[in-house]
Amino acid sequence: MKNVEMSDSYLLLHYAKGDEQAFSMLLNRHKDKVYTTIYLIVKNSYLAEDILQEVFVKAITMIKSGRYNDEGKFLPWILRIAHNMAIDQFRKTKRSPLIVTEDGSDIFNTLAFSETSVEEIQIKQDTQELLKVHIKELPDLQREVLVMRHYMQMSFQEIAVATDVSINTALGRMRYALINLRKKFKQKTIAYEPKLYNK
Amino acid sequence: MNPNFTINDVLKYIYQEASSQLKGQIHFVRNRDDTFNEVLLEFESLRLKLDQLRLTPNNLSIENFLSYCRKQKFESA
Repeated sequence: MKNVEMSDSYLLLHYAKGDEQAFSMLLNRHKDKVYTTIYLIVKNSYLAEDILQEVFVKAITMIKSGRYNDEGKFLPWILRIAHNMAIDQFRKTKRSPLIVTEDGSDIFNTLAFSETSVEEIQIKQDTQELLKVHIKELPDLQREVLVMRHYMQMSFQEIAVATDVSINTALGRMRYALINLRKKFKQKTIAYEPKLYNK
Repeated sequence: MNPNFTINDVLKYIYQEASSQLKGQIHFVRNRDDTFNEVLLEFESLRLKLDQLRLTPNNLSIENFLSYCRKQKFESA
């Protein structure tokens, strides 16, 4: 069986009929995206792997019991399960209450900087690794929007609905996330005017 | 043309969610303002880097999980 030629729907159909290999192909096809989404929320690889397994167990249970209604949207569906489970876990393990500033920053966010040393980052010198570290340092609400937009492929309108905020708030959180990441990469700030161009 | 857009409009443009009218306005400005264009290029590059970030779970944990699934067979509820 050639993995690239078979749609998710085709594999799901075969899996529901008892073809275990079809599930293996589905898992291998989507594991990185699902894992990336989970990891960037819980910020711990062991925990992320545990949750990844729980997500697929939940998916299996729903598929096998006929509770999954395939409309060709397997990936968004499983990413939503992953996001919800990761958020639940993240909330459970978060010891301190979250105090959020106007831009969505957690005022205790500076504590996260101690998680990865500068020396460790310098040794790795890898853009992806740096990006991973910098994303982990973002305030929770900014990181959530970033994960939803980049890895769950949700539009800003969908993110606004899912997080119960206005689209401008969702856009604002994404903007601060990008500005923070850029600052971390470049270690310099650029001031922005609220209105760039006006009549 | 008198461009009139906010920073959030620029973000929609970077993420390809801008209307064609907004796209036109932003194109108009970036063709004339090098500084603005440079900032946009930087953010577009950052967006691309973020899109390309793929983390991979440990292979062994995936293999163990698949093996567990095969054993369990997950009978219909």
